[in-house]
Amino acid sequence: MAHFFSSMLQNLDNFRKNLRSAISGEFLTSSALWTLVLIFCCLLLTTFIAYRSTSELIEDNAWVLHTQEVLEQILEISTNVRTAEGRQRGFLLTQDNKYLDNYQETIREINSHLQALKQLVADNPARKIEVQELQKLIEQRIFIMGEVLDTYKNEGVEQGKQKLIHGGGLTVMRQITVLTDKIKSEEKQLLKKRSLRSNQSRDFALRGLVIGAIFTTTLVFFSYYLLVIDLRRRQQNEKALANARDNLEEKIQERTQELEQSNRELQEFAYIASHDLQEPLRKIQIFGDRLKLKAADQLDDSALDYLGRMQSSAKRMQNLINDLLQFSRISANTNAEGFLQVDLNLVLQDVLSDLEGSLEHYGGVVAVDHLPTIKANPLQIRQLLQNMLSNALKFHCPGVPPEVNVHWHNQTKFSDIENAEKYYEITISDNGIGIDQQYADKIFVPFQRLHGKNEYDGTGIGLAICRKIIEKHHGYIHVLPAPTGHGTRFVLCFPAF
Amino acid sequence: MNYRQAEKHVNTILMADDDSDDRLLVKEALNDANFPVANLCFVEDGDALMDYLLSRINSSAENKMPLPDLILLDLNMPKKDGREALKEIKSNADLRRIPVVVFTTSTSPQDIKASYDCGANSYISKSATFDSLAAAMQTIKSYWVDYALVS
Repeated sequence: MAHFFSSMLQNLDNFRKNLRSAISGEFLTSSALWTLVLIFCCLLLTTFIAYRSTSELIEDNAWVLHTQEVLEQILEISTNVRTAEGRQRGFLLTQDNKYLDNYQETIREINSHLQALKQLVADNPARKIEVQELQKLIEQRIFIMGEVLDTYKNEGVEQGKQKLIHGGGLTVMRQITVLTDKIKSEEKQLLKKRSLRSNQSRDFALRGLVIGAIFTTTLVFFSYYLLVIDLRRRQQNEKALANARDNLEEKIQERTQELEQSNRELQEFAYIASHDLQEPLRKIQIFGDRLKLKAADQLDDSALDYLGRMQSSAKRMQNLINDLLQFSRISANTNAEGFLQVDLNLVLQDVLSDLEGSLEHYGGVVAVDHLPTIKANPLQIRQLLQNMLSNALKFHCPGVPPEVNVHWHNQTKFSDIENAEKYYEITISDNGIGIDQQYADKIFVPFQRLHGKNEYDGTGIGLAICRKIIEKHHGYIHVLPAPTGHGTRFVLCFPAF
Repeated sequence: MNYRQAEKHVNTILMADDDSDDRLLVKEALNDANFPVANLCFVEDGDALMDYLLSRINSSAENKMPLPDLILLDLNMPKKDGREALKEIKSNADLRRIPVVVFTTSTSPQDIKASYDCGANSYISKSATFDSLAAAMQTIKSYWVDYALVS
């Protein structure tokens, strides 16, 4: 027991050490679980001890009762033997038959007590032999008494008296007394032994119950301690988690600010750069003009050709800078708060009337669905559609009149979640030269061109501007795969607010 | 009042621009438009512009120096820039009647709107061809200068 307790304390110590170093909650949870199991075992053990002691007590009690019964029967028997003796003597003295009747009754009683005694000691072989001996002695005594009575009746008082004195009854009676005393003392010994044992087992049970109770209580407190520690650790974790979350939010905010700033700086840079680049360029162009105007007659043809090439390069650079400016202005001028309801039909009408010249020139046809109204920046949407349609006309197959179709339908993104995002999906398809799918991403990069400058004019900013506008409207644009020569299909998605 | 006074004198244009190329080009363009270029004056920054204008307001009666009939104003200049100068001119009771034509490189809608908001009378972007510059100067001359002469 002492060893058990010391090892238990050792375990507790280990537990505490482990608790301090425990990082994961699993250990705590499992130790709390094990403590509960231990508590359960303790309760089971205590219950078992209580049950066993109680049943032992009941058994011991039964034995004590048994011993007392044996003693009682022996007492009854010896009393009855003496009573029978008394009645026999009463009859001998008085010749009153009343004594004789009582005498017979007492003999029957003796026999019934003997029977009871035999049953009581049936499980104890030594005692059984003693009882049998006792029975023999008693029978002998009764026989002797019967002889005395017979002698008295048949041969007269004197003979009877002689028989009484010399019949040996006294010796048998003494033997009976010795035997019953022996049995009595033995039974008393047994009783003493049994009550001692009963006391012992009661004490043991009591001690076991007390220890069990103490142990269980300790365990309950220990598990409470574990739970408290667990709770505290959880609270600390939650606090740490909340701190981490706050930190993260702070960091995200910082990063966002940094990004916004660098974005703003980049836009300013693009704006200032293109703005300041324009200044010397304009001078080159304008003095080129002056040179051509004033000195044309003094220059030969090749010098004039050089001058022309210089001017067209300058013009091209002017266009590039203008496009870059336009591109950088999209970011600067777009915020969702300034969005208006824009009827795409009206915008498209405007665009088509702008493109009337080139439509007539190419003999092109544009078929348009009835388009939805979206929330957007009207000028940018106009530019977007203008770029898309003028591209569709510009990149037509040589000798084939361009046909352009504008369709739309509702589209739901993430339709399996609760807040599904609804989109208007506008498809602009043409029968032009198409786009090789491997360049599907490249076409949206500023100044990326898929064709030579002499084949198709333009700086290559158009689709980059389109994508930027759409992204500023929280939508997206992509080109659908189609075999080269089978036209192009652009898909424009706008969120439906 | 100052404007009326100026009417009686030779018509003058004051150009505020730090860019000597632009000054040369404007001079040539106005010359082509038959404007007497001797009446074209130049200042190179906003401070010089304001000094020029304020000294003429404060000049004594016997030694009166005329205010310009029109100001060609560049927005991006060293020291005080064109925007501030424009605001000061248009908030000065003696100067606000002088027509101010903003003449600048910028084509940004914000600059245009801001200029008109500050009281600019016209806005001309510096063009990349001499022809369009000459046309702009012709317009200025015939609208602002000749009109002022007639009236």
